[in-house]
Amino acid sequence: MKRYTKTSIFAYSIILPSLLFIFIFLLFPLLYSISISFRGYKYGVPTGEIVWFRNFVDIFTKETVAPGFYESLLVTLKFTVSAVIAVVVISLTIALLIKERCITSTWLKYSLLLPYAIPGVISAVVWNWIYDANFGVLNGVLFKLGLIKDYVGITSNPGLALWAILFAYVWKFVPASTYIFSAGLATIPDSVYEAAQMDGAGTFRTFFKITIPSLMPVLQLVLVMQTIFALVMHFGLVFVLTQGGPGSRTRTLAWLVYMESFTYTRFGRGTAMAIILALIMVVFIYVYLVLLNPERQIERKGGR
Amino acid sequence: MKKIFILMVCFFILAASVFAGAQKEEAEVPVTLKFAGWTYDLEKVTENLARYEEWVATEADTPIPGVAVEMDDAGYGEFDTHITTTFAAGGSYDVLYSSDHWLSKWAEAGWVVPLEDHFPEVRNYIQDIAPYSVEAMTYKGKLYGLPYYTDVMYFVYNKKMLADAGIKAPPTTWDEVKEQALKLKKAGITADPMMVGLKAGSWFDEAFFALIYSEGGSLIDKNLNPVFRTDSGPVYDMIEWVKGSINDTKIIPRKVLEMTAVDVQQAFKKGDTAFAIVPGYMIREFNTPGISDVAGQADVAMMPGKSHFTDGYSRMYLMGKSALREEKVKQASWNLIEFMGGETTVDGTKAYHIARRWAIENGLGFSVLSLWNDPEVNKVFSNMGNTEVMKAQKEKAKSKEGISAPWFAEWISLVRTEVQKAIIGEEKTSSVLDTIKKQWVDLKRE
Repeated sequence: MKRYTKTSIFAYSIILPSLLFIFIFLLFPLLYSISISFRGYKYGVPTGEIVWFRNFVDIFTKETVAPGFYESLLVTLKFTVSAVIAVVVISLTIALLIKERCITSTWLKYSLLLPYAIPGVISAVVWNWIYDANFGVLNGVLFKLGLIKDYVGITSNPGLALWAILFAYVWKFVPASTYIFSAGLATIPDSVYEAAQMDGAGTFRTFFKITIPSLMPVLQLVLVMQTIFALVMHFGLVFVLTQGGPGSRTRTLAWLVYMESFTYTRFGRGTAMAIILALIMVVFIYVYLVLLNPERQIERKGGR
Repeated sequence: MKKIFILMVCFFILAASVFAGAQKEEAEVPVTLKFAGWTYDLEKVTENLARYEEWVATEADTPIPGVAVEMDDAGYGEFDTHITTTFAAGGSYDVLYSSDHWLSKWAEAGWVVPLEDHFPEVRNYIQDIAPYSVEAMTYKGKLYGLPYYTDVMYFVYNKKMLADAGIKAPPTTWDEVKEQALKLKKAGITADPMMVGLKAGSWFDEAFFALIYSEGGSLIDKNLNPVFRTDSGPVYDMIEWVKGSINDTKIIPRKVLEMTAVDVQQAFKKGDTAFAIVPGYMIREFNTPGISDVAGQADVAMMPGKSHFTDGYSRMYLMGKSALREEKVKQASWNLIEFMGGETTVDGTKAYHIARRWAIENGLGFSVLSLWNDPEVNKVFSNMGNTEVMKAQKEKAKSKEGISAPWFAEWISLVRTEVQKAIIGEEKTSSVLDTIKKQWVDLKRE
């Protein structure tokens, strides 16, 4: 029989508050959400019926009941892949510019954080003003530059709406990744770069053979973080800027979850969709962890 | 024996004092009503609520002292979500605003209660309220509320712009709208001759139904069956007309897909457009110097089209289920609804005080027929535009068809996306109409 010593009791008592926190704020809501997804709702009221996986099946099979699920899935994937690539490329570039002392101003370095510090809905409202078709700043600038004859709709343009949201999203989420990359770059010893330089490696070779492999754990973290953000945290922008339109051009899964739950008041189906969204996240994260695992990289190159 | 008698007397005195104390306490327990409304002129709403608190303690038929009203507000666009989340989480409101297209859903969920079940006298108001408004406040044959304000979608035009282009009278058909708009565009008077807010959110529904009704179109019949053709007919024609006006003739700018009626109001006030479809209460600002660049130039015409019908919509006061928790709360809630939406005696004068105030000070429309006889109200509306036309348009207003179905709110939000798809050419109009017809049938079957 396992004996509890004073030390182990003390250890458990120390982690108990954290465990309670995890249970109350993470585990319980998760389990409760899963239980909701197995229930039937009609006009916001539980029918009392346990429908098991019917909500999930309906989402994939009933086009008119869960309209545009596949369309939304495609829009979501398009947005997520574009957003993650854009955020990673831009933030890594800025981090390298900071490391190479191309950006030296302390004021500039700290002001880079500003977009991330602004609450999501507020930044969405600000972008709404910027994009506004009647008095927007962007229209004003383009008009003054003579690039447009009259103020035009940006978020109502089927070809531009998703990219307008993407732009606003990237603006907000680049800073956090920039700082993570900067921290990662700071951990690479200068001696490694000096050795590469002595061996005659050029800028690109150094970047791809030293910087990127050394940054792999950080890159993995940024990719996981940004994928989770891109899948759900664009919601405020869609809500404020387009309401999923024009047509279904910006109707992402996160938006559909909101509509199913709070406009159609089908909490069961809305939660089922949210779980599907979470599963998509898990797939992305699994792919990153497998593909970008540093140990796997070493094995692939014949090491160990 | 003497001891027993003394003990009994003491017991009765004690019991009587406890009973009296309890009664006294009950009479003095303050009532706090929870009230939810959307964010519109909150200063005035707060004043009205403060006035109610005084009135209900002194002048109401059944005075209740110590009533306080706590108000919660959310934007109109998010109001349904706010209420849904509150009730689904087990919360409630005693009195709340509602729009016509939410009533059936909330009533079906049991979140709001039929007023006439608890206060049958509410039916006395029916004779003085426009029929489309009564219809909008009725679910399964029972009256649920009293009107907050009731309005119709109007076709507004800029007289000066038309005169400058040599146009003598406003258009009466959609073909004439196109013809005149092209003339205005050609003359360089405006680049965007017509605007109607078609953003997939607030006000889309009113604009959509107004367009359909104007051409004599019908979507859903009394038995809640879809009745529109998907390959021709007024519904098809109007969607095609809007689509052509945006993409081909460009008399309507594409940006209307990101504009609500409020944005259209701003554009009209700036003189950016000659024709607009807007809710009645927005017209007041058009002719108000200082806040409108086109003051004195705006007027109202009958909605163009074959039938000239328009959408009439109602916003109302409802009683939430929590009002039934206690008789006093229920009475105070009814008093609040009647004070805000009905006819009450305040300072010795019997009138629809709050509806009248909204009409005079904010130009909000009303469905109380007798208010048209009020000279002050009439004066305000005659400054807004041609009163005769406005009255005639009100008579040609219909509530949204299918609104009594609890799935209406869900269906109409699907319609917004589908109609936008047709307008931007993502799908053919006939295919969009097929989809929205099938969605209605499926939702009804569910």
